Formats: sequence, structure tokens, C-alpha cells
Amino acid sequence: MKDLVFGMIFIALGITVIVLARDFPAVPGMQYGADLFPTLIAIGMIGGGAVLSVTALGQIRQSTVDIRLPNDFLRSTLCAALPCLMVGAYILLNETLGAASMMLLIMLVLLIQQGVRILPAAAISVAATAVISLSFGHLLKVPLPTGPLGF
Amino acid sequence: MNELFDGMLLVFNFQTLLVILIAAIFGVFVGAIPGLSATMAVALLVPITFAMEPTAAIAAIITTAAMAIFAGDIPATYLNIPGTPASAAYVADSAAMGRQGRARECLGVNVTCSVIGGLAGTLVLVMIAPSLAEFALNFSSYEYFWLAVLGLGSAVFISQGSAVKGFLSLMVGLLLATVGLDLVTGAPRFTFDVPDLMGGINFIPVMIGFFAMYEVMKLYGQHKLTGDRPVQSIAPQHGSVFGKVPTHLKHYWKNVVRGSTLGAFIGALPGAGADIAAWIAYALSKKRSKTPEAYGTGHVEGLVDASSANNSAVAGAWVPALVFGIPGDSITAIVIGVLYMKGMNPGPTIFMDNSAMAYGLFTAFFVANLILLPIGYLAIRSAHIFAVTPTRVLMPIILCFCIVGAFAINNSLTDVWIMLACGITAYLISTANFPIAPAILGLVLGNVLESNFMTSMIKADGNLLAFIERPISATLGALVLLIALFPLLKKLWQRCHGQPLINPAQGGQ
Repeated sequence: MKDLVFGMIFIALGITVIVLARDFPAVPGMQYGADLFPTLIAIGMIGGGAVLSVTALGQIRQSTVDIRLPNDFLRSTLCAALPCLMVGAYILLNETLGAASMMLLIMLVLLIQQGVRILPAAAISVAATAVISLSFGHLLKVPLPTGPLGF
Repeated sequence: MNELFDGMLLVFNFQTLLVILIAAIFGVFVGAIPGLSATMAVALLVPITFAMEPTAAIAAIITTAAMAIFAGDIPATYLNIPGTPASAAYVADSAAMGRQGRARECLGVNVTCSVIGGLAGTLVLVMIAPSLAEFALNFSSYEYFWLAVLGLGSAVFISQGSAVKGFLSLMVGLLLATVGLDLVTGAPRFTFDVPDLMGGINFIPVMIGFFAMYEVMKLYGQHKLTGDRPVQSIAPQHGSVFGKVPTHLKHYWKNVVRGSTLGAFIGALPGAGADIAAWIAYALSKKRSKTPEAYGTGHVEGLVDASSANNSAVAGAWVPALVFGIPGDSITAIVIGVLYMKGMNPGPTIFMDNSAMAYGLFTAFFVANLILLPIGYLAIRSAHIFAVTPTRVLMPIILCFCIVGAFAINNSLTDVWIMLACGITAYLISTANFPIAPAILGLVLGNVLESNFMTSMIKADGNLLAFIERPISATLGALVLLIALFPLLKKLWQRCHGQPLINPAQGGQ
């Protein structure tokens, strides 16, 4: 089932790439423009996606594969999405709250979600944030944004 | 000769040696914790190497990779969980020895064979790379085009799993490589008016996304992180680390030679890294052994072959990376990005333009493999630390490292977005069993492939026959055909020998 979905996604992506590539400007006098290579890639995607979809359809017809989602699919997807949400929150809020505060918050949330008790979680988060902020911000001179608290 | 001494001096100074020592400890730590791969170790290390001298930066990467590949054997032996996929081939033997209380003996053999394999791989690198570079000076855009196709073809057809999925993964990488200003016409492509994308997508945030962010997501997607692994499940151990090593080496010296040679050769194949080298060496060892029935029950013979091969492959992978700029595995894919950033452009002229640094790199390889012995010994003696290190504590820290590391490349949040998008993509496609390595090679080789393809097409005025008119390009084209037939050969092998050449469940390093 997943293969069928991915096959279709690749076909759709291939078509989108071809459409976008048609707008790339051509250089007068040159036979091959900037669109040639992306178009070849898109054709590869459509071809590969079609093979994948057809194979998956064949398997579904013979019902050799289970098309139901696993029982824990939703739970595992949500858990896997948590780190992504944290990165998204960092990107949106780091300039307002400061990089160090955001890292501290991310670590606290993720540690507590995994069942680490609050006190050890806070200690680990503070120590790790201090190490990362000092090593990148001071030793490697990366301009990490500072928040209202000055770090 | 002067260049050789200059190169050695670049390594034998306090700063570089200190960097090597720290990188060794870092490599052991990351390699020994299940779920953290050698590639992830290198991807996380790159932002830190920015502030270093070029030789120290490269030495840090070499040491980390060599250490992590060996350290993967530690949890394999004690917990039956390979620390990196490169240790998966012989985990049954390692774990059986661990259960028999022979973990130290097993790891002693592992570390010694890793050192010998690593040194043998380095020798192959030192001997082959400069002469290959001299030969490669004759190459034109046709040959480079075929070399790039060969690298990408190996990634698709030699790597494990479905070739169609490998191919589609490769297309994703190639598409990512087209982002930015077109090399031939100068037209912006897929930049969506984001100024940061004009220069193309930076390798490093993609690597951090594909290898580190993805691993974090994967571990969170599992039910429970390995918080409190039962320490009491580790059997009581006896014996010394190196006590029985001379006996085993005397008995199986042919296996060491065979594993090391095979590993260096497989490593040098683009797309095939240490994990595939270990699988093939183990399979070959079992086939040629007088006691194949003992494999998987705590037999040393297979360990000797495979642990020599995986460390040898680490060095072998640098041959195409240095000479052609074509990565041999995912670690060298990252390394190529670092080499460019450090002004040490890979290619056949590297031994002319940057000879001192190239010799420095060779020296770093020797030092990295030699330091494996004492650090490896200490790691074996303190193995229980890795067994109790909870992944649930490490993962949030690694995630913050990923964010700051991706940001540090260009001090831009666009790179953090790229890392996030790549992590999600890697997670999604790997849930459907798509291999990730072809996408990485596609990204690294995309520009090489396109610029040489376009140059050749313009030179030949669209005549495709020109691609096979020169003798070297025709040979390379034939090699590509051979690689494309690899799945067929694999099936034939399975039919003849009744066992898979490579275990299909493995991927990455």
C-alpha cells in the first residue's frame, strides 16, 4: 500500500518538475537549456513511480500484502513528529526567546515526554544547553540569537 | 620526499594530535551506542571542524569514522545489538562469544583486525590513489560523466533492497542537486525566490537531516527508547583483551589478508561502504571455511574476515573520493563537501596542487588506525558505560546539536529548514524501505554529472555516440552496464549458493 502511495507521489512530483522546468529561460543559440537535466530526472521519477505503483497494484490484487495500517501507526507517527515540531518551534521562536532558552525548552519537553523525572531532566537540559551554547556561541563564534534574558 | 615530510608535520603537532585523540573518544562513544551510526558521528562533527585547520579537520573525520566502525562491535558483543550496521554481519558470532563470557577475547580480535584492516586499506589508498590520479589526468568530460554514472549506478544496484526504490531515491538526490543557479546557463532553478537557495543546497544540513535528524525521529517513532537496558543481562566476563589474539591471528592470518583486501576493494566501489564490505567478507569467509557450520555460534573465523573488511573499506572509500571527487560511501560523501570547504578540491590534480595536505591525510589515516589500539582497549575495558548510557537522554541533546550544527554552516535559518525537510523526507521514504544512500550520492554527484553531461552534449552537438568513442569512456560505459546487471548476478549467486550475498535488511553505516 505504501509503495502505491509513494509511486503516485513520485509521478506527481515528476509532472510538477516538468511543468516548472518549462519556465526556465532558454539561452539563444544553445540547443540544450537549463531545463534538460531536470526534465530527464522528472522522466526518471515518472517511470520509476509507475513501475513501483504497478508492482504494488499487482501485489494488492493478489492480496499478498496487508493493506491495513499497523495498529501503532498513529502513535509512532505522532512520536516521530515530536522532534520535528520542536525544530519548527525553534525556527519560529529562537529570535524572540533566544537560542539557549529554546534549546533548554526542547530538551525539557523531549526528556519529560520520555519519562525522565523533572529534576534530572532539568539538570541534564541546563548542562547540555550550557555546553552547546558555549561551544558554538563562544568557541566557534556562531552568532546564536540571544533572547530577552541575555542568552 | 619533501612533501611527505611536510605532510607528516601537518599531523605530528600538538593541536592535530589532540584533535585526533578527542575525535577518537567521540567516535568510540557514538559508534558504541546503538542507533547512532558512524555517518551520523561524522555529520555531527562537521560543524565543529569549521574552525579547525584543514588537516586537523580531515584527521578528526578519519579518526571518528574508523573508531565508530570498530566501536559498533562493543554493543554487538555485549548486548547483541550492532552499534553501527557495519557490525551487523557478524553480530551472531560476537553475541554468542559475549554470552560465553568471551566478550573481551572477541573484542580483542575485533580491535586488532580493525587496526590491521584499517592499515591495509590505508596502504591501498596510498599506493593506488596517486597513480590513479596521474592516469585520470587524461580524462575528459565523457569519462567524468561515465564515472559519475558508475558511482550512482553502484549506489542503486549494489546497495540492498529494491533497485526501483534505490533509483527513485537517487532521483530525489539529483533533483535536490539541481536547486540553485544552473552551471551552464546561469538560470535560477527551483529557488522559489529564496536568496539562500541561489547558491544551491548545502550538503551538510542535508546530511545532518538525512542521518542525524532522521535517526532521532526513528528512535522517537519506536515505542520506547532504550532507557534502562537490563545491565544484569550482560554475562560475567573473564580473560584478557589481547591474551588469545596472537593464537587467533596465527591461525587465521589468511582471513585477515583476504578480509582487508576485499574490504579495500569494496570500499573503493562507489556506493558500497563498510557495511556491505562486512557482509560480503563474512559470506565469503563462511563459504571458504572448513567449518561453515560453526558460523553464528561464536566462531572467530568470520569475525576476523568481516572486522578487517569493514575498517579496510573506510580507507578504500577515499580512493574515488580523492581522485575523482566521487564518494565511495556516505561518509566520504560528507568528506567531499568538507574538502571543498577547506580548499582541498578533490580531483586528479589534488596530488599536484595540494600534495602536502594529501600526504598529511595519508599520515592521519595511519595515526587514526594506530590510536585505535589503545583507545579501543580502554573502550573494551569500560564497555559497561556504553551498555547503560540511555538513548532517551542522548536523543534530545543530539537534536539540539543538529539544529545548531545546521545553523552554524552559513549562520542561516534556511539551513535548519533544509535539515528539517530532509529529516522528514528520510523518515518517510525509509518507512517504505527506500534506501537513503543513493539520495546522498545523487546530491553530491548531481552537479558533476550534469556539468559533464551538458559539456559533452554541447561538444558532441547532441551525438550520443561520442560518449563511447574514446577507449576509456567506452570501458567505463561497459562497467556501468556490468553494474546494471548486478541484480541478475546476485540472483544467480543466490541460486548457486542458496544464501543471499548481502543481507537485505541492512542499510547505511
